This record gives sequence, C-alpha cells and structure tokens, in this order.
Amino acid sequence: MESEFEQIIKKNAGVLHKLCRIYTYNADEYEELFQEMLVQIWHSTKNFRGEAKISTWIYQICINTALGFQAKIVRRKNRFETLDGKVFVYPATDMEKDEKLQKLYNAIRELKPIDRAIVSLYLDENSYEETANILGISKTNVATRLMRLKKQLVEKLSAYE
Amino acid sequence: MNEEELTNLWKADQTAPTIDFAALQKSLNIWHDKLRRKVKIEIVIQSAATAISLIPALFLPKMIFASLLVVILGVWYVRELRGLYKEENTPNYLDIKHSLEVKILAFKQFIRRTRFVMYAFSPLIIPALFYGLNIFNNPLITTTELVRSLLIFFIIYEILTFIATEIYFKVLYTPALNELKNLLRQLETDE
Repeated sequence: MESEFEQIIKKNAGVLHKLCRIYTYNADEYEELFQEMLVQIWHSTKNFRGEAKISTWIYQICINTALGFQAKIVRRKNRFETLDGKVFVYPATDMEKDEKLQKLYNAIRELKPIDRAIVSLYLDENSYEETANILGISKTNVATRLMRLKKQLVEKLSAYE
Repeated sequence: MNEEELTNLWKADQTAPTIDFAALQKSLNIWHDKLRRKVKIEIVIQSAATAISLIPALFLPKMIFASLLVVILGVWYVRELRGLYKEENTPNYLDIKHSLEVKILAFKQFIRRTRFVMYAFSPLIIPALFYGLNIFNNPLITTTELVRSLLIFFIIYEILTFIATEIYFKVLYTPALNELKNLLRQLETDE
C-alpha cells in the first residue's frame, strides 16, 4: 500500500520538477534541490495537520527549500547529509527539445528569486488569494507584481525571438 | 507571445522525474540514521573534549575553574549550533514571508548570543587561568603588576576573539543572513 508521502510526491512531482528547473542552472544542482525537496516534504509530513490545502503546503515547503538553496543555506546545512544513491531518473524527453519551453524557463530564471515563485504560482493557475497565502503577502501586492512580471516575461521572450 | 500562450506552454510541460520510491525510502532512512549518528558522534566528541579539558585540573587542582569554563563554552556552542540548524529546518511549511522571518530571527539570535558569550563571558578564562596558575597568590607580583597584566591579557584576548569571531561570522553566516534579508525585502516590496 502506498504511504501518504508517496501519494503526495506522485501527485506533486510536476510542481517539484518545475520549481527545480527555475531555481537551478545545471543537472547537478537540479538533482541536489529535488532531493532536498523530497527530504523536506518527508520531514514535514508529520507536521501537516490538514489546516491548509495539500497543494498550498507543498508549494510552501518547495519554495522555501528553493529559496534556502538560493541562499546556500541548504547546501551548507546538508553538506554531509545528502541522500545516498540514485532515487530518481530525470527523463530526457521532448521537453529538452522544445525550444519555446526552454526559452520560457530561461526567461523565468532571469527574474529575482521571489518573482520566480510568483510567476510559477501564476502559471500553475493559483488564484491571487492562494498565491498571497503561500507567500504571506497581500492580494494587492500579488496583483501589482504579477502585472509587472507578466509584462517583463513577455518582453524577455520576445527578445529571444 | 501573449499571457495565454505562456500559461499553455507551462501547462504543456508534463515532465516529472521517475522516482524509485523503494530506493527513496531506503535513502531517507539512511539519511535519518546519518543524522542520528552525527548527534551520537557529537556527544562522543563533546565527552572526549570535556575529559581532555579536565586533565589540567588533575595536575593543578586550581585549574578546575578554567577547565569547567572551557567545557561550558563547548557544550553551549554545540547546543546553540544544533538549535540553529533545527530552526532553519522547521519553518519550511510556513508561508514564505513568515518562514524567512523565522530564519532571519534564528540567525540574528545565534549571532547576538555568540557575540555576547565570546566577548562578555569567555574572557573569564583569563582570571580563571591566573587563579589556576597561582598568580593571584604569588608574593613576587605586586597588586599593580597583577592588575596591569590582567588588563593587558584581557585586551589581547578581546582583540583576538573579536577578529576570530567576526571572521567566522563573515565567512559562514553573514552571506546567508544577507541573502535571506534580501529575499524578504524582495517579498515585501511591490516595486
């Protein structure tokens, strides 16, 4: 029988993947961050009391972990405690060949770390309220920033073409 | 490319790594065991350090205060460090702003407490050593000389401790703390 942890990861592996892609610059970093997210979710499962939606909780853990990775806290803390062995296989799929998608990830990576989180929440179709809850800021702040970020993103992508 | 195309493109990426859950569970258990082992190793190292610190007191009983002070500082530091890592670890399920604030506070408190202990408490080692080496009761040393040497040792100790502590923070903790503050600023501004 699948554990709760396994079910959560299976359902949200796509979210983890996308966040890892926008917060890392190479395969090694991707692997390190993905593993750290798995560890953090596993570690936090016992603290989940169902007060928030699972997706909100997952975003909070993963974005916090990605920001910690960005601030090099995760790497310093876990220097000697990385997971042993290969626990996942990164698929070399069409995505790598998809130039447009690659450009989108590159454009998002050029944004500030917090803005990357806001953009990914928006693209995953979270409402302003959900985004505000995950980030801990006001809905107005989310709306204002998103207006600017969407414009920035479209401009960056147009510049690539 | 417009906004709708952006969303569609993002949603079209259905890629996700294939996770071997059996291997993952095994790795997580090993990881957890490693953490527990690390705590045990820390306890062994701390016990050994305590024993070593107490050795001088066996030959010079008056050194007991200096030895105890070293032991207290060692135990305090390891506990403080463990507390900092725990603080960094736990708030990940909070909202991002709250989590950043908790982490920043944990860092600041760690730095503030360490500074206080290093600059205000640890210099007590000087009089403890003077007492241990029987300098206070040496009839050949006048009170003026004693006060002067105590002052000189205090000043040298404070300068060296200050340099070492601040370099230690600068290298290990200030960059991470600044990055966290920067992230919080990014989150709070809507510019």
